[in-house]
Amino acid sequence: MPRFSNESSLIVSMNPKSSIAESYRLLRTKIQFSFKDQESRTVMVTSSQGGEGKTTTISNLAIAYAQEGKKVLLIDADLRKPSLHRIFPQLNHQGLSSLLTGHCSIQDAVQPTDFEHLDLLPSGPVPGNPSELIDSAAMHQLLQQLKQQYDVLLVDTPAVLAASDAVIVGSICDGVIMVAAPGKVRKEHLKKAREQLEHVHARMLGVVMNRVV
Amino acid sequence: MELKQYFRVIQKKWWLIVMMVVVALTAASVKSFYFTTPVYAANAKLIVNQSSGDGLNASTIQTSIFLINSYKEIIKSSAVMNKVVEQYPELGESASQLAARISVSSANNSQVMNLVYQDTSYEKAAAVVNAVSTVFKAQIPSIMNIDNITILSEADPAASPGAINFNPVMNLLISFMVSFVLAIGFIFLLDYLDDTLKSESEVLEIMEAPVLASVGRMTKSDLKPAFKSKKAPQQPKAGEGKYATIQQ
Repeated sequence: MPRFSNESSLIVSMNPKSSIAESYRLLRTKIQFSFKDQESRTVMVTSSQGGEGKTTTISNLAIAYAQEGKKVLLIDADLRKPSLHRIFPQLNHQGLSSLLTGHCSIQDAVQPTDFEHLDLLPSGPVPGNPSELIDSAAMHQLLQQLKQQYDVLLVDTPAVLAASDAVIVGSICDGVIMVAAPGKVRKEHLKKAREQLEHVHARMLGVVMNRVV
Repeated sequence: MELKQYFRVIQKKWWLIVMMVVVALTAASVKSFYFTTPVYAANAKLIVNQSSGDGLNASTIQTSIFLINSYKEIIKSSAVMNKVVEQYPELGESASQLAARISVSSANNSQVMNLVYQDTSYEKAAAVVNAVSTVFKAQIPSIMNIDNITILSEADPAASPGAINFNPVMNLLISFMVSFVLAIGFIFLLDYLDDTLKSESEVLEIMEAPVLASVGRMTKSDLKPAFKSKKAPQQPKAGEGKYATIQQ
């Protein structure tokens, strides 16, 4: 399935009455339910391989949260092939990578979007050492800091089997959502991805079946 | 439930069935219209009966019927076939070829024998059948010491019957059936070999985590805001236009 052009896949805002938008709202509700006792939380959205719809899922989930009045920050931790800044059209000259290397402040990097309550921290310029940046104390601290300012942090990452970044982020987030496209992802890959995340004690909240026919 | 799943599997890959059937039908029609050499069959009928003059009685008829079984073999024997080749060199066939392609049959308990010869040219087929029946009739007295063959009907070399192997409707029907069944089988094979994730129940098994949401496939129409009504945009009413003047 070809990717739609910019921001066209933001179905939760484009067509909030559709059943697909309803599915994202249900996802939001279920995530909240699994964090009953926590005030703020960081949720990572990933998949076992590329092209299963991570970015579409996380964008729509973010809007679903924002529509509820929660302060949401979308973090593009995919420092290899960032795409969130194209969906919520933003410049990507500074972002997570420049924050982690200390080139700018949180205020400079985080940008508001067209949606109320929803901010975006784009990936920033693609660095040469994405895994090292993600696996740094700075990243951990940054998430802790941002948690103070937002109700929900949603972190987009590369696919688990494509890079170690997702596993690292998974270990420092409160929960992990796995996006799986039935008919596309092989069972053994899913299993492998789960094992890798289990290994770092990431908390698997559950699976989003995407593009169900 | 099981049956429903089978239907779903087929439903998902219906285009594959359509494709295979279309390809098969095309191939079958091309084959039957362009690549089939028409084969024609000519036949002659002979009757076996004792013309001993003492009329018909059951025993002579019975004897004739028994004889037919031998005659079927005799026609194909070299005693007859060699004579055919000798007397009709224009046929250009060897005795063994003739013997292989001629078929003799008779209905049960009937004295009538049916000679059929198939060839790509009807004219030749008719000539062969007639030649064989003539030679056979002439040879029987010397072989069996009895003259009891009468030629009932000869093949008409001037006739132009249709080819016996030209049957496009049947070909298409058969190819449709076969390709349809094969396509179904192929789909189930693919499904069996497919090790991708298929159902929510599998998720629980593999991930040991629940399915939080099941999002359908987005289509272009999903992304168009749903209109509350299908009415066309209303015409501007009086006073709504750009040029409404202010009452001074």
